[in-house]
Amino acid sequence: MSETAYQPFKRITRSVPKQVIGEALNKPWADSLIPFTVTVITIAIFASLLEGYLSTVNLGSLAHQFSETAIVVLAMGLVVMVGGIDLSVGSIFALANFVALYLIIALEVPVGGAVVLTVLMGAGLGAVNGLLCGILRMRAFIVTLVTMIIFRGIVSLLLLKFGSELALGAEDTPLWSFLGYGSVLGLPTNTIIFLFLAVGGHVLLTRTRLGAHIIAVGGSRLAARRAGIPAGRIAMGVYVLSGALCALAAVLYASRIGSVSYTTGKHLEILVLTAVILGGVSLGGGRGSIARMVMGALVVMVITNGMVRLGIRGGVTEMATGAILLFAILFDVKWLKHKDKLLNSTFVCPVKLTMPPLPDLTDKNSPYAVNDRLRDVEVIGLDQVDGPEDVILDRAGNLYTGVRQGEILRFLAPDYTRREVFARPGGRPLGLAFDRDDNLITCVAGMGLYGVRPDGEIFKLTDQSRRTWWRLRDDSRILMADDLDIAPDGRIFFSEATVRYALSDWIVDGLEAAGNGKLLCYDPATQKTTTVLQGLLFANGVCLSHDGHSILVVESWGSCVQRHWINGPKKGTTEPFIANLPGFADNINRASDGTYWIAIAGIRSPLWDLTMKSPGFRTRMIKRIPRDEWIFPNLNAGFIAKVDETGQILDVLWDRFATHHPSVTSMREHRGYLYIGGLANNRIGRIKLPAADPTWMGQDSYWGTRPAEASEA
Amino acid sequence: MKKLMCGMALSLAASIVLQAGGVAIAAQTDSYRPSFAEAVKGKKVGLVFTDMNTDLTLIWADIIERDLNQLGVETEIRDANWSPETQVQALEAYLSASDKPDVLIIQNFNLTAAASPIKRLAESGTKMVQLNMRSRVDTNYYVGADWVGIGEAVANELVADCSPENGKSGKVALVQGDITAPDSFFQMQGMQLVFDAHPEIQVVSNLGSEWDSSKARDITTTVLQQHPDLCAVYGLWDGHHVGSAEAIKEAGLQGKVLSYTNGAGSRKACDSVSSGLVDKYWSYDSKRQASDVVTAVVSLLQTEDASDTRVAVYSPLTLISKETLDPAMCFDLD
Repeated sequence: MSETAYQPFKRITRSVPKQVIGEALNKPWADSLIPFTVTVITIAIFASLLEGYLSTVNLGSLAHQFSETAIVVLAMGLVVMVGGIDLSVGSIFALANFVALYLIIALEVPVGGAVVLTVLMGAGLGAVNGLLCGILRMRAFIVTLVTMIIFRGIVSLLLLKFGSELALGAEDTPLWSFLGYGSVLGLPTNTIIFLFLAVGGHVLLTRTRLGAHIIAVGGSRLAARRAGIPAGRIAMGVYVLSGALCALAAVLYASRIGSVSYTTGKHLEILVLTAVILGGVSLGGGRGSIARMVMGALVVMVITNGMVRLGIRGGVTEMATGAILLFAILFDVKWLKHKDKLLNSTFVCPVKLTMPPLPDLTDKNSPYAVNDRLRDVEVIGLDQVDGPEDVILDRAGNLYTGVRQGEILRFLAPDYTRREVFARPGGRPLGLAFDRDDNLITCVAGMGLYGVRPDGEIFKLTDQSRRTWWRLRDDSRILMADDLDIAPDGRIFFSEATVRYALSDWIVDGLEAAGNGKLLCYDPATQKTTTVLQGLLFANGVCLSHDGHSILVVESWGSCVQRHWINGPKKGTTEPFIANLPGFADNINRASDGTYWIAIAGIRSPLWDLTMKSPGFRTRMIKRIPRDEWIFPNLNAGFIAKVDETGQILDVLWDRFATHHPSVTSMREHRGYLYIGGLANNRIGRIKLPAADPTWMGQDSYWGTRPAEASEA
Repeated sequence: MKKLMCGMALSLAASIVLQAGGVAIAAQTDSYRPSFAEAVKGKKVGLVFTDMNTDLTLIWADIIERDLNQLGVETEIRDANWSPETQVQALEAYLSASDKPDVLIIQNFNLTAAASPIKRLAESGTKMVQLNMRSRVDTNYYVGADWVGIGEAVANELVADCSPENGKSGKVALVQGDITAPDSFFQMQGMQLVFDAHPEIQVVSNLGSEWDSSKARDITTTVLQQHPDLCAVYGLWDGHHVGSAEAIKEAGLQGKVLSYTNGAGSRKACDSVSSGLVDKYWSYDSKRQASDVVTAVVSLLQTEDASDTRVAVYSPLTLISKETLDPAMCFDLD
């Protein structure tokens, strides 16, 4: 095979800027980008309208007014995240404000004690909501609407009875004044408390089991319960927390304003809900973050406060707040609905890929000339297997394959009619290989590299490699381990087909063709996983050369095979092994005569090659037409090729009429037979190789013969 | 001769006067004018009101802005829209603002909420007038009703009209607004003084409506059911007393149960008295209060250092009843 201009390793960088946008939108913090932009714009508008708005003095003053409401925003936000709503926040706030002032001014309780008692009372009120909504599973909207009225009624009664005692009251103890008007390092006391709570809340939600449970319960209460999470108690806990936070905010408010009034906390729930929704915390629950709640709170505060300062009349301010809430809810609904569409259209970043000229398959003299050699293929396990991507045989001749159900099946020799589940690792077991100790090592898409001992016990080898520093998307988790082979020293070389797509979307990686594949190496000695090659166009089949000095790795979308030297004078270098196959190559394995079998899963078409040339066309196609009308690579019919150590095609096996085994993703030679797998097949094929060594098997080829078993066979 | 002498004397006197007058016109200027012009030039006044939708705040804003703007004083309104917190925000914004108003006119929600920012604004040198509803902190001026006095006046009237000595039940109901608001608080003080001396008057109900007329109506309806022999209902502000008055009317007790209230004295006050919804209405005349505020502001603007100025301008009361009713007693809102 002559060298071509085709250099697969040099094209990945071109796609980086576009990939960054798509990957950024997929980050959890992408949902924060819009609230963040809104926040910045809002602040910019008011800063330009109001003189001295960004002065330190004014910012301090704003922080002072902001913090109490922001704490209530956290309370409401947490409840919304757990899938509820707490309309009683304003009433709890009012009640706590009254209780705190009454304890301190009328009953002369020391400030510290009064604060604790008030917060406990808030938690108690929250527990009422929590019991009704969380444990008894009543509708949160109705329950908290009712408790809002009840708590508000209690405030009215208390105001009437004891209000006049507080009408003139003022507390001037240092601690109380510090809470209301003190500051540390220029930050008001209440702001410091708020920041502490916000950071705590962030840690709770993102770093703790409880936080994960809150999000899980919010996302789907039923699913959370089925996963063993005590959904009721978690929800109740959040309501209690909400009550306590409201009470704490009210204590700070009391220390600052120091008055009891029927208007305290009135309409607070609407204001706070606006902030929460504006921050992109989904009303449906399970989606949101503390940072976003804070941003939502900032926007609402800046707008309401700014409008007062601009001298705008009250009614207009209320209308504006209402309009913002409506807008935010509308956005929430639309964003949720269209987010995936947007992500899809921005995530896929097609790259220009110029393929070498397509070999002419109709030419009878072509090494790829179509024949009917697979016509006589025997069928094993018809309708008993769902997608046997790879097949392998053990020393006793038993046949193993991984199927879609996440199982590794075993068909027992010699007739392969008895089928049993050998192991159930989950995920999607793809590539298979036996190691020196007869452990079956497998690449499980969605999970990583796993092993199964002969007794069926499963063990994990690795599920992550080192993260690529410039990628926004975390590619350290092995997303789609595909095929593997094992070097004599025990190092396992395996391919990660693509770092950007899961198995369900593997074909989209072909439309992108950005070189997202990797060849990884797991070293059992150090238990480390390192990246050997990256930028591969769908890294697929992996095979150790017969001399053990190099690894052959298939690039499916590149229709080529690379040879990477792991030993010898060329160690560490990579060179083309086969540069231009007529189709999308899949697995590659050793043949008995010192050559290699390579599966071609589908044939390239001129249309496909043309499509690959035009990334703009592919981008428009993905954005504008439905998925089932996209141009996809043909993966229905292929062939098996035999190549020698130089990459020269020696032989091809076709199923011309597509009757028995047109789709081939792997093949394994064993004792004179070739066993054939297919990713989407409902069968395993077997064909006799008349010229092959009838005693040859992979295990011997890799690990040497074992006298006892050899004689047994 | 005598006539002649008189005539001469007159003409002499006249000529002297004329001469003197001529000199005066040439030399004498109005010495107030330059300093007044200096005092009001480029000045700014902030009006921080609890709301902008009641008759009293509307007439205040109307007159104060009109008069001050005419004098070349800039004005701006901060509408707290029934939220003490918003009001505190507005005041705190003034504390940190680079262009502070020279005089602030503040109508408080209650005695405590704005006390702290008002205190700090005073310390920073801002001159302040509290209008009708004061906080517990004193400012340069208080312009508004004498609430204790109104309380006493109303209570005395209730004693006179409802006393069992005059064959009445002695039962009265009070409908407050916000218990902690200065008008409620000080009126109750004044009334308490009188009622303490008159145990024959029995306050059968004393509830708060939160300034909401529909709540006032509910309260009064209930009280009327519990006490069919009720003598009078006093609503501590006409804004919500409308509800109580309607409750009395609906119960068919108009004229039997006395309906008393106080307020700004806008046209609706006179209307309510003439229609019989209200029997006695104590008006503190908010239109006049606005003019008093303008006077206070102008006077503060001309005071270099007002830190020791403490002036109260209590509004005179007018009792409007069927007997005294005169349309001129009430003002119209544009």
